Amino acid sequence: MIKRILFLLKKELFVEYRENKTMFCAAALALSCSFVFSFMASLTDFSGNYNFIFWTAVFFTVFPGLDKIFRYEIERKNMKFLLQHYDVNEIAISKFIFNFLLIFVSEIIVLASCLYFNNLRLSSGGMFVILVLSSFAIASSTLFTALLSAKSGGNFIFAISMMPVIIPLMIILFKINIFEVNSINFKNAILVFLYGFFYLLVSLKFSGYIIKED
Amino acid sequence: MNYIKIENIFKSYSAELYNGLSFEFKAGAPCAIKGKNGSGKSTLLNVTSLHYSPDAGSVKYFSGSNELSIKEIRNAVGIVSPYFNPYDEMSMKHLAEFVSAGNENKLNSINRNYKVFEIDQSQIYGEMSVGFKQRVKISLAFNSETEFLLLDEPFTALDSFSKKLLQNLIDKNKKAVVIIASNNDEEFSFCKKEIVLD
Repeated sequence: MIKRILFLLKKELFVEYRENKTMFCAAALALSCSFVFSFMASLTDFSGNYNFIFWTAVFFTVFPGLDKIFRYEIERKNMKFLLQHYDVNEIAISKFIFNFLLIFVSEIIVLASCLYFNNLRLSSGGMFVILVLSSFAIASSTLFTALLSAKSGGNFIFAISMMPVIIPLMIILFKINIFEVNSINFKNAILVFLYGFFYLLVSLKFSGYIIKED
Repeated sequence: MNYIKIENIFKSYSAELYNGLSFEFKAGAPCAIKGKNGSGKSTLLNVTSLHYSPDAGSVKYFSGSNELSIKEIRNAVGIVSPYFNPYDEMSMKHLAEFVSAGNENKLNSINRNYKVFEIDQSQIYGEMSVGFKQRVKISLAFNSETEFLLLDEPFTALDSFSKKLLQNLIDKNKKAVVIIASNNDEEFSFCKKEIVLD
């Protein structure tokens, strides 16, 4: 199964390399969001609330690319071809890994630009654990909403169904202060992991029903 | 002997397509599915390939007396259809690797088909002509693992050279169950059974 998931992941990266859209958009958004939010924060009461700036920039950066994962195959009429050769769970896991990588890379770019634009220094190695956990949770919860939007056939469904799934996660993430060495809230970090794990299990459980076309 | 057994299939969209359709598709007896436009030929192939669920009834695949699992069916079925499209961005080499997923025999047989159909491994699928895209679909479907062939208008866009090659491939695969859905009489020349949908 791992070998087959690697073939699927290779396909995702290959198509992304040829299309060159999602990663490019994510990188451009990461830089622009970090700059704009840092600039706006400096003019308002949010000045110094780097945690808020960071997570807001991350959310705005990654979401445009996330619902593409299933819609790409549906719009290009590749889904039946894909399902003919691979199992639904293999497909869902490969999509999840691709989204995880997309989010993690975006978070690194946002973090680097936030540090640069706000004249901050890297505070703790612990923040990378938070980045990994948050990428995991965002990837798995949005995998679920991407599956729903693929079944329903609309971009707007992704945006709407994302709200109840992602807002609780945002609330937890806003409470994790990743820019201060001694105040990183690891209790909330575990909560983030459990949240992501729950949605990953739900997505895998129902992916067979949701991906199948009738 | 390989065979596909469909029993009491019901399927309807806005109108009823099948009302208790039952049939056995057997190896060595290629079967034609005929019918006017919209009569449900492609849908029947999609139901038979298990990509569509029937409203009622069952589709079962057998190798001898053994019923095949979904995983075994997916591996043993080759499909050529306008609804099964490879990725536009992938080269022939990558497509063969993707479809074979590490199975060397499968990969070698697809590469042999590429040679027979004069397909360049470095070509990108999305940049090919419609005729060559059809050749690629045939090359991927007729691999070493294929025991069931579901062909939806397989001659579409093929030149006479490719049509002959396709007929040779079907003739060679005598142990395979072959089902052809079409309105083109040319594609039925080697079929021994037929289903007419109205």
